Amino acid sequence: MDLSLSTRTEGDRTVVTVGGEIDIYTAPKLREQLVDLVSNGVYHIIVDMENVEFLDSAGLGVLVGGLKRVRAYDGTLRLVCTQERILKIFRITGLTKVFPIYNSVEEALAASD
Amino acid sequence: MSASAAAGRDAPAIAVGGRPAPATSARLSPRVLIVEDDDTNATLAADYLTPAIPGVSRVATFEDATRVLAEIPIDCVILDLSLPDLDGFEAVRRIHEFAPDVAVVVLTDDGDEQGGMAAMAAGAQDYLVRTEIDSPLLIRAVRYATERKRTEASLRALQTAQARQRENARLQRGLLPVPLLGRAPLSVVTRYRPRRALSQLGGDFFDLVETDDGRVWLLIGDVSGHGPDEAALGVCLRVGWRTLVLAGLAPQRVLPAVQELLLRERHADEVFASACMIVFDPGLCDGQAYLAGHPAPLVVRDRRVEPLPAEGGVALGILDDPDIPETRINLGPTWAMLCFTDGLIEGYADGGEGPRLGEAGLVDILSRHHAVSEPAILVDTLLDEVTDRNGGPLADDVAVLYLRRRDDESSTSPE
Repeated sequence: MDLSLSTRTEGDRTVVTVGGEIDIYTAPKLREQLVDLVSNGVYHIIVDMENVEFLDSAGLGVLVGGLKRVRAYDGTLRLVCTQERILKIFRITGLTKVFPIYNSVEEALAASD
Repeated sequence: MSASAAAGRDAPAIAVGGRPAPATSARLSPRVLIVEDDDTNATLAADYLTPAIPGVSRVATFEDATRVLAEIPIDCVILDLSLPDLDGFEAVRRIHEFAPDVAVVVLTDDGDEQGGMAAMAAGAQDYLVRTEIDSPLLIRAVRYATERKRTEASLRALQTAQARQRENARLQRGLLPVPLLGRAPLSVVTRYRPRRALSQLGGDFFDLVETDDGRVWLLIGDVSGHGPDEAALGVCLRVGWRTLVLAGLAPQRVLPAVQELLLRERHADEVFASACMIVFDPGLCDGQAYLAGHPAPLVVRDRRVEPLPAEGGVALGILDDPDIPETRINLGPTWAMLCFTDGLIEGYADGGEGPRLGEAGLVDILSRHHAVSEPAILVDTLLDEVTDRNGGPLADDVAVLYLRRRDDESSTSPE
């Protein structure tokens, strides 16, 4: 399966909607998207993972890399995810302590820094 | 730089990576490009070829030849050794360099045998004296040259694959050491199964060391991503860990030191590593566990299988201070433990699609097999079942470390 990506702007935040599988093969596409956003001055990013079917360590690496990039500009990277199997991956790797994770895009948009 | 080479700088930009592949199937008639500035000679050569080889193109200069080679798949170039824009030998050398899979047959003038030999030395497959050629000779020369080039290309691919295999074997030896155990009452089985695409190694690593005081130290971990860089980093972390342990560092300081190593040695900023470390006290009934973003090992006790109840911290390489919790574990005298990397639980639960196996699926499989008395058979059975349920080889590397405390002396004593 492939990875689908779309972005939209909501105020000062940009929502990246990700669908499909984020794995070793597709992770570079997501990395490119995040790098593009940051190099275009977008430092507050919400990654909507509600339609993500699969996430592996390469995908996690890209998200961590994205977080480091926005933090370099005092930015934020928030995740939207309610799927138990994806949340479990964040819990196992301890990344729930690193990423703020929200139940919906609306919640993530309403969250203050 | 020679004048002839400088002339080549004006040649069109050549996208080496994007060059079309030669028409590789041996059954296809080869595609031929004649590079010849003399119209009469070019037409003659084309006429000689076309009855048997219809795919013939012609250009008059080397510059045009490079443009054609960059755009259409060519199997064989027939090259006039006296081109206007580039010395013939330089042309052979450049074609060889730019399009290594394209055969080259050069045409020399009468009496220039030496020129022909020199062109062969520069990489041409054959040379023909212009005045001696006829249709059958030219056709045969093109076919022989093309075949020889194809054989060369397969041989080269084979050698590359063999070299890569040797490299992988070296890395695997580094990633997967022989456990360093003395008198500890422990049966150990280790397995490593590379991912589906055999050519790429992952960064899974593990180690097991018994120190002089009778403690047994266990490590299993996984560098995020796949490939030689990750594999090399995995070797580095494992050897670093072993060194820290043998040097006598206190358990709670070991993984933070491994993170320091990771931060300094990693090839990209986003690379991190999960790790699980367990230090068993002498006698192997108790110990401390440290989980850094790694799945908890499964413990088998009293015929029950459950994940080791240990609090997990963040994987190494993400936070400045990894702050890995220490969990005291009490296993008793009779136990077995399955440590693994996440590839083992990321496969499908039911034949190639749908839900993934997950920790619960693995608990289920181990619960059905944990009574198998021979540890190696148990582990292989378990790996086979995981692979079967995935519907074929797993997409990710899997490292497995199975330990069983040998309860020889105390098995008859009441608990």
